[in-house]
Amino acid sequence: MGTLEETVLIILLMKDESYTVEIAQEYEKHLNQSISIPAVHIVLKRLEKKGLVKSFFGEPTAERGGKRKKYYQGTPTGFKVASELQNRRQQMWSKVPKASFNYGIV
Amino acid sequence: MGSYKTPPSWALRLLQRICPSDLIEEVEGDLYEAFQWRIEKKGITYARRHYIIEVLRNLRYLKVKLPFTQNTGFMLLKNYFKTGFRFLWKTKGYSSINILGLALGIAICWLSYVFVTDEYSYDRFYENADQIYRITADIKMGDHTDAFAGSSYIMGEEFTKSVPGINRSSRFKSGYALLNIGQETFGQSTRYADPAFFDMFSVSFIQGGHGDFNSPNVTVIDESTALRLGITTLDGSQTVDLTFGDETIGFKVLGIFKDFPINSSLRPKIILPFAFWKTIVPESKLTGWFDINMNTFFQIEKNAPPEIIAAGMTKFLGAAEDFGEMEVALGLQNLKDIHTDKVLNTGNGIGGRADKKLMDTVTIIGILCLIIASLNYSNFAISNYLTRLKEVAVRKVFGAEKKYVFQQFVSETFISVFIALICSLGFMALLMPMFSQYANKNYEMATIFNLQFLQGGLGLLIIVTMLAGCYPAFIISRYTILASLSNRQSKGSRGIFSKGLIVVQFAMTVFLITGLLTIDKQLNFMIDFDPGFNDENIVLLEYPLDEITEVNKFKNDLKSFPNVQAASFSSSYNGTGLALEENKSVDVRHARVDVDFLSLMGIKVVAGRDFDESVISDFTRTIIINQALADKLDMENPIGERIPFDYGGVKDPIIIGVVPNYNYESLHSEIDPMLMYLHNEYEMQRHYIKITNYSPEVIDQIEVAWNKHFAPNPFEFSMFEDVNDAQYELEGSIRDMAQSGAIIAIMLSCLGLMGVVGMQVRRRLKEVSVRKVVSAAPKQIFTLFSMKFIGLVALGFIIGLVLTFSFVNSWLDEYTTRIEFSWDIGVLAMLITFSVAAITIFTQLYRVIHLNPVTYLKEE
Repeated sequence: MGTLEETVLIILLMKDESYTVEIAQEYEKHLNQSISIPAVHIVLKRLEKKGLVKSFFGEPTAERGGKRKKYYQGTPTGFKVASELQNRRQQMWSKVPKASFNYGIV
Repeated sequence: MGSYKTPPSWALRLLQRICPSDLIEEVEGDLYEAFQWRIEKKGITYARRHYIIEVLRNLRYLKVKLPFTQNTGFMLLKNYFKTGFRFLWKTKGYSSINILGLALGIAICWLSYVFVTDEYSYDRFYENADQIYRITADIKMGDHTDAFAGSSYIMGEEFTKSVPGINRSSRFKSGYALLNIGQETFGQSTRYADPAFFDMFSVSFIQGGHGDFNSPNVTVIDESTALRLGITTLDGSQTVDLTFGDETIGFKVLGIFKDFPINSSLRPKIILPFAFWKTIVPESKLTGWFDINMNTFFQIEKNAPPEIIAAGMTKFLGAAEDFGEMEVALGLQNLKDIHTDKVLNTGNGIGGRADKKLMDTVTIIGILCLIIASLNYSNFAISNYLTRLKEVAVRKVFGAEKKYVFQQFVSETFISVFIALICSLGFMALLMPMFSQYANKNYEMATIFNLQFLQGGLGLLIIVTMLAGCYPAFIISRYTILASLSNRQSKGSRGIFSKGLIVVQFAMTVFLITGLLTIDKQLNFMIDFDPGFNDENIVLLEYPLDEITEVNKFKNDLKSFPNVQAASFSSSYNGTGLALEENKSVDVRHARVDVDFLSLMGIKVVAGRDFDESVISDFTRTIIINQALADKLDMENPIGERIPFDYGGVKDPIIIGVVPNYNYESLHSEIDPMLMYLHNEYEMQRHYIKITNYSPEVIDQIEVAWNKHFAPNPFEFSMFEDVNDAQYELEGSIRDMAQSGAIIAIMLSCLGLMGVVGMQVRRRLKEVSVRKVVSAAPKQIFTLFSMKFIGLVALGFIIGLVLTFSFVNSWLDEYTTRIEFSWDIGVLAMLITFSVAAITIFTQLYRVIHLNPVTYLKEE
């Protein structure tokens, strides 16, 4: 699973349920970096294919030009995979020496 | 959340096309929402840009099966292009000369295409162009027919009401007034139109509108005039102040319309209503059926046949007016045909028409240059391809059929032509300033670059590829495997072909050169032709003045200046019919002059006497005629005869003098019968001032005198000599065009000759070396090679000359005063052609004459 996929999955887990534009906004807020809507689409499609998220349609609204929203929600598998990744990464990070001359003394 | 902005609709439509149906709802909604959000964040442009980018990113959903893999046809094509490029690169030197030559030919042809399509694009953009017609008339008297375009005021009125099939109509007429801007006055031409004009011609208003356009003192103006007058926003109080005669009238500006495009025959700047025109002309102009002084445009019903409407008009006219002996047939001319028509006149608000002669010349030059360049290319290609026989043989061994080899070489030509096409843009940019000057157009690369231009380029690409590529490809695909592998070249047919090409090329070049020399000679002949009067050092003021007493005061003032020899006034040359007995009529031209006219022009009276100021009866009761009129009337001794002339206050005058035929108009037409009379009340249009020699001071003096008598009418002068020479401006343009065309044609032909001679030389280096060893003189070597080619050039020369002879003679037939196609032109053309050809051959032979035999003999 790529970093972008992981990030999007975490955002979804944070929000309980969400849709593309909201994800893009969250992404910008947390990572200080803009992302294009089609990029998010692709990632969501991939996650859905892997069974990490599921989706359903909401009600049409005016702000979407009368189109329905498509909501995404993390699946239990998605939650497990994401937390596993976080744990593993945490473990690896703990092996990184806290102070070294190479990185400057923290 | 009030209103939502909509994203660019084309992008949305694109999205709907490319997005799969199961995704579209989500994607479209998301993009829409993101669009709103980005507007809030960073504004509309930012949002729009991102929306478009994101739509484009959805292109990934398009599942196109590209034929890159597995398709043998495509793979072959790829291979052809690859080998083609490699070969071009290998023979850089020759290829670049070859391609540049081709590019030059293409550039010339492309330019002429631009010119011709531009001329044909006139008036085609009007929405209703197909249905808009103007009135024309054929007048038949005896066996003589006159065709002209124009109508009277009442025609536009009555036909619209009574002849079925006419939807809308608008008269159109030019006028002249003085335009007052602040304290200054300028001469300004105006147009009169009816209210329907604006809908017929889809005039688009930037501000205001045309209203009902029926009250006398209103006007609409175009954007550039508004700018000149300093009108930016229209509030209904602005006026255009125009002076007619001595009366100044303020016209209320109702609307400002967009400037008419350049390729429109009508380009009004200030439009006044006919409601105003009615108030300034005599009643007779409004009711006379045959007072032809304007154009009338009809918009007829869709699919209605114009001939039937015209017949209806003729019938109606016949019932309304009796024409006696004249047979009058009215016709309708489509708006789109006006610009390129050869015969019917323009004027009265309709701008200058295209010149067919210039168009023909340009077309011929374009086509000839393209053919010469294509033939060059074929020639080069054949001699180059022969080095590739082995490659072809190997291809054939591997199963390539003739067809594929043919395709290969055509696609290689395509590559070269494509590169040449790109290079030709550079040549065009270089030639553009010169070309647009000769064609009297304001062409620039930026303005001519449009869809039609690209279509032309595409057409040229295909035509040249076929023209230049087919024959070499055919030749080379015909070789048998054995012959190509053993390098046995069947030279016969190919030799004849390249020789044939040289003949054809030089025939075309000689055609252009002799054509050019003939045009040049005819032009010089016309400019130097003695018109029968002396036009040197005459200042001409063309301005209608009707205050004859004031004019005479002006004349007396002028005569007091030391540098002014004489001053005289005349009207322009009008035409009328002279009704002789027995219902016979003679067309005669006439001019109102004053007593000094003939002496100022240096025209001698051959019989009788000149006008005399002291003889009172000379005013309005006597005339002077030209020899042509005397001949026409069969008068042995015309002095003292009376003729039934009735015009401008003169009735049945006595002939007191005869002048020789002088060319009062250009040499394009014959000298018509003409008469002159004196009058001291009516308007005069042309004012001639004979000066000792030209200097700015004299002009200043004249201007001061003019302003004293005629201010605020603007002072505009020209030299009479220049005005006369300007009549031949068109021939000048054609000459300049032909000159450039001929130079380029001869360059291209020599390029071809160079290629063929060069090839021969390379092939025979060893032979020449042996000859040199056995002490052949350079002269002999030169003769060895050149005789054959000089022979070809000579053959081409003769063919070209024969072609020119028939063509140029028919061209010259259109001039009444013409030169004969004579041998000096032929000799001059021969000298030019042969010397250039000889120089070209010599540059190639220089190498062989000076070679060291050892270099080419030592390898064996």
